[in-house]
Parts: sequence; C-alpha cells; structure tokens
Amino acid sequence: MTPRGSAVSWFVALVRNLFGGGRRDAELRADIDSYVEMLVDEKVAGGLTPEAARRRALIEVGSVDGVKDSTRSVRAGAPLAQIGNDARYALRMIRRDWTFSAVAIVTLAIGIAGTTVMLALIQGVLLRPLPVLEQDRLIVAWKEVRTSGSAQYPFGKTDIEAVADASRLLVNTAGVSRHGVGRAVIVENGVSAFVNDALITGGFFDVLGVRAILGRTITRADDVDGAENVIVISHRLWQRRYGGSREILGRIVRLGEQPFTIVGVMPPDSDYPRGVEVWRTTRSVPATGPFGDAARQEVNLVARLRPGVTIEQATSELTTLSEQLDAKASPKVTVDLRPVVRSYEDVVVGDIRTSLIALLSAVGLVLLISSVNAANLLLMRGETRRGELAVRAALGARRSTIVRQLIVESLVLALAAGAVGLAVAWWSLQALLSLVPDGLPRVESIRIDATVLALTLAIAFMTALLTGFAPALLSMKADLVSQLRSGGARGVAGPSARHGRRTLVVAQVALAVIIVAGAGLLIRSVLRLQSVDMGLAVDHLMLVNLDVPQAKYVDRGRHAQFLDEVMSQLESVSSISAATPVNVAPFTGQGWDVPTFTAEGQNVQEAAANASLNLESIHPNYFDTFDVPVIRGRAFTAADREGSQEVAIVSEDVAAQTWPGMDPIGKRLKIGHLPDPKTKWYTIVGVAASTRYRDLMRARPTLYLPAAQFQMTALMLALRTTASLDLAASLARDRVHAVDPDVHVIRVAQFTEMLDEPLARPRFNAFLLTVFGLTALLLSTIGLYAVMAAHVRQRDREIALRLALGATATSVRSFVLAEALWLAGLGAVIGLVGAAAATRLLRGMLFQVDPLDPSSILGAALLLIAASVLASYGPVRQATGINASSLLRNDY
Amino acid sequence: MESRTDLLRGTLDLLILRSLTTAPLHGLGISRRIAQITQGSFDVKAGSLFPALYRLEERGLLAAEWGDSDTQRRAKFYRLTRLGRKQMQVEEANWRRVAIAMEHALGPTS
Repeated sequence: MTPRGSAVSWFVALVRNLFGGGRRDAELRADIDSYVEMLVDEKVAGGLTPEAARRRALIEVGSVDGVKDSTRSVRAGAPLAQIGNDARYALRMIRRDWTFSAVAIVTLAIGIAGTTVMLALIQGVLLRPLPVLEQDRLIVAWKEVRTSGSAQYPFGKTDIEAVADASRLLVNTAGVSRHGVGRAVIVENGVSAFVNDALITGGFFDVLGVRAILGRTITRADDVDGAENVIVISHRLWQRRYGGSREILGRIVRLGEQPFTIVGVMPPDSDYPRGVEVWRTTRSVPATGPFGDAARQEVNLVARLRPGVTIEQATSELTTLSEQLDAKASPKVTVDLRPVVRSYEDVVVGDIRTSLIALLSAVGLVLLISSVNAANLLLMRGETRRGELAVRAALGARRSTIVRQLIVESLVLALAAGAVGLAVAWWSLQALLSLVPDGLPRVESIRIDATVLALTLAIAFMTALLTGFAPALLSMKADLVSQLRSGGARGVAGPSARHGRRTLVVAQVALAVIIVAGAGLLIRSVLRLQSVDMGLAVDHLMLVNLDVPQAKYVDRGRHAQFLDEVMSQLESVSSISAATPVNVAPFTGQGWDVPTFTAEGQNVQEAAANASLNLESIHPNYFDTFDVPVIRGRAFTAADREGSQEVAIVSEDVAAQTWPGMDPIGKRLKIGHLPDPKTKWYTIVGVAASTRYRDLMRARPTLYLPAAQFQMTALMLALRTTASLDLAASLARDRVHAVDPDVHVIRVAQFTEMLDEPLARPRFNAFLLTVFGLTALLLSTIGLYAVMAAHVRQRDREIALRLALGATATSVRSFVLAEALWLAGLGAVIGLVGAAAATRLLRGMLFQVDPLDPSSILGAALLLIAASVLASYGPVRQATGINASSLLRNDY
Repeated sequence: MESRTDLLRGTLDLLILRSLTTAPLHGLGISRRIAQITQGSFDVKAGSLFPALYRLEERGLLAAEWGDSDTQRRAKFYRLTRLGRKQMQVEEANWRRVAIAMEHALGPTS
C-alpha cells in the first residue's frame, strides 16, 4: 500500500544519488543534525539544562549513523550507490595499509596469472575448434597387424579412391603421408634450407574443408598426370620466410630439385600433419627417387563421415572394404592387417591432453594456496581491525553493512590482483611460447582470448569470495562488546580466528607438498631420461646432413659408390676414428619397420606372435661408429655384398625372444608371416646390444641388414671424431666436395643435440611444474611466516611473562619453533597423503620413475618442513627480543 | 519500527502526507504533527521518519527546501507536491475502504 509516485522524479533522484557526489549525503546529514538540534531546543524549552537536553535528545534519536544508514538504504539506486561507497571505502583501506594490500594483491595475482596461462594453453590446444569444417566428422585411418596390433601400415593411394567409391558412410576421402612430415631441402636463389613437407592427395583440403587465406589450396586438378608442380605453404612459413608478403603467389622454388610454384597460404593453426610447412602432392615425388614409389603410394586415409556416423561404424565398414581390396591386391598382401580409425582431433592434438590437465590441476592448487594465503592475510588484518569494526558497530552500523564492506574490500583486492595477474599472464605466456617445444601442437592457437579473459575474471571473483568470506564470517561472529572492553585495538585474536589461521597454514603446506612432489617426480624423470643408457656412446659423435642431387644418383649403385668414397676419404682423417652413412635421424621414432617376420621352423601362429622390428640398413662401420657392442658373432664386412649369402644381425632382445637358450648365429629368418616362397631367408651372423637410437623412451627390437644387400638411401653421415664441431664441419664439407662438388653439406651437428627433441616435452613439463612448485613453496613459506609473526606478536604478553618468570631465551625459542614445526609437520603429513593420491595423474609423463617414488614425495615434505623452519627464524628472534619489563609495565 | 510490514509503512507514508496538508513542516514538526493528529498513538522516531521522507521525496510526492524554523534553526521544510496531494487522496480512499472492511470483519466490540 506504499504510495506510488512518479517514475520520472525517481529517475532524477537516482541520477542525483549516483552522480551527485557527496551532496545528497551532506544534505541528509544536515537534515538529521537540525532535527537533533531542534529536539534539544524543545527539551530546553521544557525546562531541562542544555546538557541533559542534548543527552536525552541523542538517546531518543538513537544512533545518527543508524538513521543515516537506513535512510540511504531506501534511496533510489541504493544498492549501486552502496557498492560504489564500499569500493571507495575499500580503496581508502587499501591505500592506508599499502604493504598489506600489495602482499595480498601479489599473492593472488600469482595464482591468477598461473591459472590464466594454463587456461590459455588448454583453450588453445584442447578446446578451441580446429580450423576445419565440422571437425567431429573428420577421421584419420591407417592399418595395423591384426594379431599383434603393432606397426602402422598405410593405405594404398588407389585404395583411397576405391574406398571413396564403395563407402556408404564416408562422404569424401583423401590421403596424407603416413609418416607425418618429412624434411625436404628447399632451394631459393641458390640458398638451401630445410622445410617440413607433407605429401597429400588432391582431395585433402576438400575433405578438411579449409580454404587458403591467400591464393588457393591444392585441388584434385593438381593431382593428375602432367599437372604442374604446386605447393601450399603454412602461415608460419609465410611469416617467417616471406615476411607475410602477398607477392609470393606464383613464386617458383626448388624442392627436392624440382621447381614448384607457390599457389597458396593456409590459415594459422593448420597444423596437420604436425609441424607441416609445405604441402605438396604425393604425385610430385619422382617415382625414380629413393623410395619414390612408397612415397607416391603409401598414405594414411583422411575422410569425412556422413552426419551421425560413428567411428565404430566407420571402422567396421573400412574393415570390410579393405579386406575386399587386399584380397584383390597384387602382389598379394603378406600380412594380415586391419584398419585403425581415430578422430581427426585425437590425431592432431595427440597425447598432450593428460599432461595439460595435470599441469592445470597443479596450477589450480597454486591458485588455492594463493587464495588461502590472501584469506589468511585478510583474517589477520581483520583481527587488527576488530577494534575499528566494533566501534562502528557500536555506533549503529549494521552488521550486514560491515560484512558487505569486507567482501567488497576483498573484491577490490581481487580485481586489482586480477589485473596484475592478467598482465603477468600475458607476459609469461609470450615468454613461455618462445620456450615451447616443437612437439606441442597448435601453438599458433594459444592466446588469451575473450573466453580466457572471462574465466580469469570469474576466477578473480571466486578468489574474492573465497578470501573475503572467512574473515567476514569471523568478524560477524565476533563478540563486539567484549572486543571493545578488552581493548580490541591491540588486536588480540579470538580463539576461533587463531584456529582458522592455523588451519589455513596447514592447508597451504599440504597443497604445496603435493605440487613440489609432482615437480620432483618430473625432474627425476627428466634426469633419468638424460642419463639413460642409450646403448651407444653419444659423446664425440656428430651428424652430417647431405643434400644429394637425386637426379644424378637415381642409380643406387652409384649412390653406394659415392658413400663408400666419402667414407674412405673421411676415415683417412686422423681425428675421425669411424664414419658411417645413416638413413634416419635418431630419436624421431621414425624409420622403416618390419612388422612381422618368421624364424625358420615357426608356423604362422608362432610367427604372428613375433615382435615388430625396426629395420636398419647399415654399412660395415655402423657399430664401430656408434660404439654399439656386437655381443655374439660378427659385424657386417665388405664381403657381405650383393650376390653373396644374405645375412642379418639382430638386437639381443630379438635373439633372446626368438631363439631362447639357443645360439642364434646361423639361424635364419624371413620378412612377413604368411608363407611366401619368394621372400628371401636371412642368415643371422651377429647379435648386437640393444640401443635407443629410434626411441629414447625404450629400446626397440631391431633387425640390421647390410646396405650392400638391402640398400636404403642414406642422406646422413655419422662421424666419431675428437675434432671440434667447426673442424668436423669443415672437414666434412671438404671431403664431400672432393668426391662430388654437386653434393652439399646442409648441416653438421653434435649427436647430443638430437636429444633436445625427445627431451623437449618432458623438460617443458618439468619446467612448468617446477615453476609452480617453487611458487607454491614460496607462498606457503610466506603464509607460515606471517602466521608465526602474528602469533608471536599476539602472545607477546604471555612470552614476556614467561621470560619475567625465568624462562630462558632458548626455551622461548623452542616453544615458538615447536609451534611452527607442528603446523608444518601436520601439513606435510596431509600433503604426503594427498601427493600419493595426486601423483597418479602424472603417470603418463614419468620415465622410469614410480608415481610413488619415495625420494620425491618425502623429499617434498622435508623441503616444506625445512622451509617452515627458515620461515619461523624471524618470529623466533622476535620472540626472544621481547622486552619483558617494558611491555608488562606498559600494559598493566 | 524497522521490522514493521509494508502495511505499516504505507500507514506512515499516508500519515506524513496527511500531516503536510495545511503547511510545510520540517522533520521534527512532521513527527509532532503526526502525534497530534493521531492523538498520541504514533510517535514517529527519526529512524523511521527520515527513510520515509526521502523515499517520498524521491518519488515526487514531497518537495523540500531549506528555511528557518521558529527557533531560528536552518531546517529542511517538506511540502506536498501536486502529485503527493493526488496520491494522498487515493490512499485515503483505500484506507477508508480497508478500515470499513476491517470493522465489518471484526464485528462490534462486545
């Protein structure tokens, strides 16, 4: 039944209230004051003395503040105006206690910055849609051996078209090089460099549904006989190599000695196959080149599903289709294969998901620690402000007003922290992206975008509530009267506040133990990886990359002869003790496989259980150069030539598995597991120690064949030399040039440099988690310090009494230290339990380290306890420095 | 009076409007006038009076200006606006209806 009024005048009032500055408040104040004065006048007129009249009047009015408060609260726009007021008040408080505020803001900013960076990584890598049309409908498929599930087998290029014709579930199909990107030599203006090239069939970009941002993509018309050779380049290569110039369309570059015309630039974040810089057709590979046929024919299948078709349905259809195709194939397929289908997204993003999520969890813990820390700071300040709050409450300020102000205050703090955190995040993301390993997918898509920004803001608000809520609640619970009476300004913490603070410290220590333990595990894992026995001696070993003109060396015999001459030239140098041609760079996981083999005497079932083997075609000096021990039998010699007995060397694990307890020398095996009388038998002449040449993570069973009998085109040389890198490089250039001036040395590198790539991801993970761990350690140490300092300050009278009653400095020290140790110890124990549960998240990121590795987990707990002892050093000194007599005299 | 219901707030609003029908008054004057016209039943304290005054002023039912009181104090004098006068009549009619209805409902005091 409240009388309604005019909306216009209400709106005018709203504007005046919000933007009129303090004028309306001043008017209200004057109005109330005059009311009081007139009340006094009235009472004086009634016969009271002025003093009595004033006292009576004030009692009658009650609290002037209260009247003002309740009047303000009904005014137009009151909620907004109040928040504005509170914010102004909060800013004043923040300025007044600047050190405190700075510490709180920095603490929160650290947590917010870390979380923002991780969110940007996750948003960029995992969540942002890939730059393709309807990524959910895209699949990538290859084949594996049905019995062992090992090895990736390709589809034939003709299969791709046959599948497209026959399939009812796939709309569109294309092929893409099965090994991902290759390294090609690009020559422009006589300068050669490496680029990562990917081979695709004409329909590739059509299947993905991407357009070029400049020029056009490769189309089916480019993938026919007689078509001009064209390439499409990545956005990154365009920026890096051509400075983003629009003039590059139509430009002609030499790639693998053929001219190619640049016809288009793809959008950023088009990173499939990963690391690709140049896309070209499979057809552009000369059939006459090394493995040209394979490169032209063997591809993985990329396809678009009809809407609503699942991966399982696609798999079963592909299985049927490829069985039909294999049955018709000629020559007959000797291996029993089945298709494997993955979503495009899985293939592009790969196995990074688990590590990103583990890192996000860690950073979440850091955020939690920093919130807890800030809450602790607010709580402590809340205690010193008890007096102020009690006075205000006594003057009639409503409790809800005070609580609201506390929360607005932490909100303002959190917003400031959010701004600082965002700046730090932006900066550290730039720094981080320059450190990011090549293996991280979708780097171009990582940035702080609107979503990340919104999440950061939400996190800032959340931390504000987290940090402001506990102190606000406690201040509400506080008994104001007793506060006032006991001299609240001195800031004696009530038991509940002290309990709250200690709980928060214990929580911080526990959380920090978890993160530090995780970091410890990853660091140990990287150390293990770095020092793992590779089975070959990596020191004094160098790799030389050659640019061999393919047209000139189409004839394999000629290529072999060239290599032999270079070898003998190099080995005549005294500082080079051994040299050998190599097919594939180390630790890439790539190379040639023998998915199945049959040992003499094995039936089909037994043969099917054999491991998939790495295949290395090697020269006689291979084992000497890499210093791989030949355990039994002999290495290859020059006598193992074309036409002589076909020989092989296997790694020790192959020997042990295939011929357990027997002497493998003289045994025979053939490639494939279906009986095929045409394939050759290889006689084992030696057993070599296992190496991690192919894959740093694990030694792989390997079959070595002499290059003279099973030649692959080696475009790399390995040298064992005592010479410096520069000397070795110039030696290699001279000698290669002396044999053939048309062959160029592209690069000479220490072998150990090759370790950087497989170590990049583990190092990156360990680096990030270590940064988080150190942050957690620092924050929780600061938290403990603050609590111990406050603790000592608030118990100074007790300590003074103890000292006065004859306690020694030592006993006081140990009494304070015991408190710190008790808190840290409790936190550490809880952290141990938490770590044992949480490190399981890291399992996939660990190498030869158990997730429960005691030295990492216990080490983390001990580290935290040690840090706590350090943190309590200051408070301990402070305690013994208390001047008992003056303190006691002053207070009592 | 903080916890009184909307009905009572409506009562206070109406009483304030009513108290201003003859002449502009300052806060204390309104309080005293209400006591007078309700024969002492309502003693409106500052804590309820000021929120009501400001609310009514913001809704355009009251207008105010500063002037001098009988005791030569600066004071804010409130008066009814045209809208306020009209609204008062509406509210009065409402109240009369309610009062009659309530009387019927409660029956004669026995």
